[in-house]
Amino acid sequence: MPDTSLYEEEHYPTPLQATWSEFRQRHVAVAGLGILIFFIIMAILGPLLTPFEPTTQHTDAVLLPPAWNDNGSILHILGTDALGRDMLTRLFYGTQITLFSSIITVLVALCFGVILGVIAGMSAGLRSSFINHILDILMLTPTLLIAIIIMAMLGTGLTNAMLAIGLALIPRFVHVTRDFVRQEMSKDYILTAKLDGATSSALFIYNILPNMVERLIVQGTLAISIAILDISALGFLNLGAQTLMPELGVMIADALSTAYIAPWNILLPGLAIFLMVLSVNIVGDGLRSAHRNRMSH
Amino acid sequence: MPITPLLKINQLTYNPPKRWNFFSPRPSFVLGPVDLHVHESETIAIIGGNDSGKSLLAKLIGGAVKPTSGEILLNNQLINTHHSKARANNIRMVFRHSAESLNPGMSIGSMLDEPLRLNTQLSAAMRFEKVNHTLSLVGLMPEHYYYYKHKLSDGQQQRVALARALILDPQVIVADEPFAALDPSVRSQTVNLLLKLQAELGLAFIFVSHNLGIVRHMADRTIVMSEGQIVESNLTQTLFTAPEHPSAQKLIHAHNSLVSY
Repeated sequence: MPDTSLYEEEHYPTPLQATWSEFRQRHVAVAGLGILIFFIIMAILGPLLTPFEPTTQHTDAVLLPPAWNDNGSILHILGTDALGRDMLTRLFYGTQITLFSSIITVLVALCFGVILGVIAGMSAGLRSSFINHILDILMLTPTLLIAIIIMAMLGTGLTNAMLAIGLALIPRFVHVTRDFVRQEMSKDYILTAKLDGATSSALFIYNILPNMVERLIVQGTLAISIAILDISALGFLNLGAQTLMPELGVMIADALSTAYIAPWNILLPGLAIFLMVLSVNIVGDGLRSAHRNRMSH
Repeated sequence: MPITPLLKINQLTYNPPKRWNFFSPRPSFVLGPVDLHVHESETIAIIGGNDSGKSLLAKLIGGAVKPTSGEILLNNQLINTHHSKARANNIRMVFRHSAESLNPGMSIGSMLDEPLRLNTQLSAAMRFEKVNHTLSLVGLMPEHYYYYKHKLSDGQQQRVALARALILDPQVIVADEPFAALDPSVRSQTVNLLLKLQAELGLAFIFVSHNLGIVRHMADRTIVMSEGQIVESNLTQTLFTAPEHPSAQKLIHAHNSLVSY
């Protein structure tokens, strides 16, 4: 009997594979992803590679310039700060703290925001508009300002800073989710699913969420770059991570007093923050257009 | 001549819920009371002018809108007026083709899998088998299981919507202007497909249409609606040759004057 399934052999890309093949078309996005992966690897493996502790003070090598300078030492490749702590080690740990704490903050805010947004979007009337309008007011104020107010109540520290920034970021996700769910709920395919007896949660997970990924990516990457900037800003203002912690904002604040003698101490953590924010934004933008292109052809 | 009709609609009415709206009190539209009998493998067309309540009646039968009063009996058994398994399994609705009639974020396979997952106890392998069978029933390929909406043409999309209605082996399909947005060749393909399926499966098919040519071609009986009431109900051939009610006459004459040129 001849094989009737002539086309069965063909390969059907999963949504993830299709998005990746679209993503690869954009070289800038791939470069951004490269930088981001570099930072993530640095944050994970860096502490294992370096022989020093971030708090070890080398009293014989204070304010050492980077190794390529005539006065530099190969022992401290990126130099040391005013207390003789190895700059490269501190950068590794700093990237770890700043990047990962922002990602965790955003993920938590995203979960809460989406749940609240779904509740607001699927319910009608007073409850929906109450959630929405209250959170709209919060969205008008800059996150850093809200974070500082929350910090004033909770006290300083990295955990509190994450909590404050997370709380300040939630309204963004609520707003996006609510608008989108509202818009989708009136469409015919939702009605068909409802007629099949889908419960609200099944309706959201199977029917709405796949279409919402694009918006969540956009908001999520925007929120990660905001979180990176805010966590280091709070660290810089001595409200977030405290002086002993090698957080990037704290490192800049520490180096401020010796800015003229040792500018690399400010430059390097600043550069790390800048590159992280840039790469997160580029990757987010690339993902969004890859996702959109996947849906259109 | 069957003794009991497959679907019996008694005194179905619908009043829109009163909205508290200070500035613009809406003119209230009332549908019904409507009585309708549908027999097995019968095709019934609902025609009428704009705002005559055709789509609303289809939605009431299909369960998309909850009626104010009245009852729907399927095989002489009263079915719940909203959200019930008996309805989901036996009366299926097809909406008019639009950009929003299929979910862009789901593959065709999982879209067709959903009604099975929610309404049957079949295992995953059996559901896959059933989806593939239904795809071939409406003239699609097994590989369309993995496709997304944007890869399909309009006609194929309408076939998927039809497959979604057929997948639970229903007894009645209610369609709200299923052919409206399709181009003539795809439209006739879909019409022929439906007639073929009806002959094979013995479905009762109720559809709303503005296209009287298709109505005349497909329907056994035609219902004319005007201002929320059924004003005339007759065999299609009789209705098209001798319409009685003024609004039916208007529709038929307009159609005939177009066709004769």
